[in-house]
Amino acid sequence: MKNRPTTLLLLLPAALLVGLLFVLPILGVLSLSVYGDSGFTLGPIRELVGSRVSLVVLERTFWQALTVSVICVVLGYPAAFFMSGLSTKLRAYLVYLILLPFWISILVRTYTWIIILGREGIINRTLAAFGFSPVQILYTDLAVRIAMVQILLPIVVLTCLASMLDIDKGLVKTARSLGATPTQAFVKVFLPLSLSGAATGGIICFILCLGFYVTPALLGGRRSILISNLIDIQVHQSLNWGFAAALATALLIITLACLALFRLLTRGRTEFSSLGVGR
Amino acid sequence: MVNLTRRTFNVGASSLVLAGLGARSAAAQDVTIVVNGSGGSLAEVIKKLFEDPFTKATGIKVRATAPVSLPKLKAMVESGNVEWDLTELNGDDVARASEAGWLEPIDYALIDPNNVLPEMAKLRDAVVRASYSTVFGYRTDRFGGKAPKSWADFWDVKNFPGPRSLENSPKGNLEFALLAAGVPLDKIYPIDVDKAFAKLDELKDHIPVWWENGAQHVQLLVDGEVNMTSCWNGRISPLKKEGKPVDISWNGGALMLSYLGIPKGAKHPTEAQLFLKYRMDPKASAEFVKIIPYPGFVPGMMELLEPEFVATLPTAPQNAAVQFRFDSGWWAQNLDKVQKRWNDWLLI
Amino acid sequence: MRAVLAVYFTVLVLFLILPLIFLVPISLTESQFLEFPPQTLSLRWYSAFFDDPTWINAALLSFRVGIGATFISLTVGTLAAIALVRAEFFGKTALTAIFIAPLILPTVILALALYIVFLRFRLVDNVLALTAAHSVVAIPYVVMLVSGSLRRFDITLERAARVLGASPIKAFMLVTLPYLVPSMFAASILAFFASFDELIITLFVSGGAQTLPVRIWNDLGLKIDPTVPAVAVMLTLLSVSGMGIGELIRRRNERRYNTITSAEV
Repeated sequence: MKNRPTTLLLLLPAALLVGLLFVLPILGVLSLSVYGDSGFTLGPIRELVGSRVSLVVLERTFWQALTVSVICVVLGYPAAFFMSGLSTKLRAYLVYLILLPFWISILVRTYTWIIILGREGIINRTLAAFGFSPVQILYTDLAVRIAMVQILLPIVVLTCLASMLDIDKGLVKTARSLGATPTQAFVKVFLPLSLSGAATGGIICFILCLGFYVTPALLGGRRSILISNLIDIQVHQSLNWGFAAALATALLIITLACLALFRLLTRGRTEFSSLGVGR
Repeated sequence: MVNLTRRTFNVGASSLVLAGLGARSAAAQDVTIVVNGSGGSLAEVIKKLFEDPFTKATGIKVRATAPVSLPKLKAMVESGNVEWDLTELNGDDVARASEAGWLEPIDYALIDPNNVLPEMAKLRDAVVRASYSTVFGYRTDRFGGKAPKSWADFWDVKNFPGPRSLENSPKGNLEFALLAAGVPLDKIYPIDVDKAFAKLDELKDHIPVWWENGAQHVQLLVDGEVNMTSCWNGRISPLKKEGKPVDISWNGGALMLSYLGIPKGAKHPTEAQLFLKYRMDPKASAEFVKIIPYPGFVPGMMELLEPEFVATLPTAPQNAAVQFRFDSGWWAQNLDKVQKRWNDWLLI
Repeated sequence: MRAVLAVYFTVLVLFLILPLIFLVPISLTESQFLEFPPQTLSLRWYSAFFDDPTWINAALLSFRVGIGATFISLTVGTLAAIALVRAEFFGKTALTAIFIAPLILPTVILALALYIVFLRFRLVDNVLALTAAHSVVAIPYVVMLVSGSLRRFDITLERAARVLGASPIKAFMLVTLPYLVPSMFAASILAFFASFDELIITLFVSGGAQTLPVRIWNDLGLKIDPTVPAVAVMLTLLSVSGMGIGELIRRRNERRYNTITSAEV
């Protein structure tokens, strides 16, 4: 497709929508990080660099996002693989089953975890019935991770599955007929072809983790809060929008840098070419 | 034409109340005021008790919005396009909004012509809507029949063991810490921040969870997640009524006020004040307090309520006597600095 | 191997629907609070939903906005994905990054930014504007999933169709689009639920209109009563029965189709 007008026409609706309702508004707010009441200022950025809590929370956010997305991919990939081997009809039912929790607002799911994981919650009461001492799960990072995985796992499974269904089943069959064992066929043919979907899923998951807000606030301890919560405090409590903008800009830049780095590391490997971060 | 009328209203309408009133009768038919509140299930109650009768009486329609949000107020006043005509605000938000010039002055000649509202209810640019207390609630089944009586007991992890919870905000908590450290009720303000944080240090490890909203602290007590927590006075009595082993102590509670104010540049300030006046109706206010026990200072309302019920309200004399009045002015002045220190203290 | 995977899959699904399993009894309680196990059973909170028009309106609004946002983001995002994969142009990487950025930026920042713009153009409390705002949050899913699938697509198939005489658009419609269906389906599901569960932007720009998450959130300041789990259970039941009815219709059509074809034979 070398046709310029066509390209432009295809891009125009999305560019208009995202331009008007994302880029322009966001530039207005992000510019607050260098532009105050009295013109240009480095105040918010200086505040960011000097704020230990922001740096700690940023680091924590990336760490949490990384662990949760790795867990999601590791748990989700085999599930998607299982589903990809089923009949279309059965698979449709299972996709449907996996999506059921989506109907429950994240707010509600979070409260349900409180009841399940709590000090006198369902798990601890069960433990007590068998004579074990209670464990503190709620208000730890573990609780936040469990809830985040529960929320994000369907997304990863779905993304992996979509890419697996793209794979031409004939390829695997050909490999088998050429004498490959099932394991060989999987490792040499299926796995590389489906990795890109797993990577897309993992990256969507990672990016979504960075923005988590309700779950860490309600299920985590005081050291579990993530960057969104900190930004929220600046927007709602301190009304320090310049600082909030500086934090958001930092998050945006670091995230895009991470994605670019990932691209660089996997450059030339076609199985990762679907990362969405251009080619 | 409508726009022209609206613009006329905008120009110092509150000082031209009489002129505005004259114009109102002609324009009232198509005026809708936007009243911002906390929404949720309470919005229905407010609609039934205040908004619908008001529309019936005056022809002015009311559209309710939610939630209460200081950043929204800031954004709309700064942009010059003001969405709300009236909004709920809590005490320190009023102080900050008032200082920043985001609120219109209230015309008390209009909303309180007979001058019956107590002074405590009247600010230059906001009127008290409700009062509530942040007190401590506890499980009655956890301390072998003993009951914690003060913030000092709340801090006493030997005699009253078990996890506790406090709100995830410095507001109120610094005051409670000072009370626990033995500062008398009338010597809390100005807050000795260092001393308060030192006292909070003692309790930090016994607080697994810092609550974020009103639903959460109630649930924490119901689930037995904590044995004691700071809480708002209103949600514990329904728990008790259901037979749950919980109670509150008014001792050392923070009496807080919630206000109604008119954003600067509101499109219908005069109509908003008429609605404000309507909200001061004692009968409707009494009905409202029966549903949600956060009374305002509407004259004549208390007389319409059962004395036993009045005794459970934050402003009942015996309850008010053991509490301190939350000083929103001090917080408006110091919030930025203290919030920063709080974040460093709590989150690292 | 398959058996192991099947067991694993069952455990995984149980974990995913665990909250749902507990929500059913919690929603059937008589108490004003969430408790498990419930002391007395009642349908009180289910009728509370139907007695309060704000709950019903919130549910309807959520569906309206969600379906609208899905439609917009799927159309617009798929077109953009085609250009991003098939065409070479300056600034492609930057443009891709911009389409994904709405997912990265914390929504509270986007919410504040949109609110300021919506105030200026008097779009607050406008359902269409809210739908458009939601579609911005949903576009990244569509762009990422569809462009991923498109890159894996073997373009020689489309070329073959061209060689056989199909116009570029026809070749795309007949060969490529069917191939994209699984990923477009996955993207539309993610897009719908991105909107259906969106809270913070809606809190800022919706004015008085309440979607379901906003309705729940506005209550949370004060309380959480079992209406909230009751709503969740009803939504799930609604979707299950919707699925069941869809399946029934499909089967009936299938049977009719089969009879027709066998009659023709």
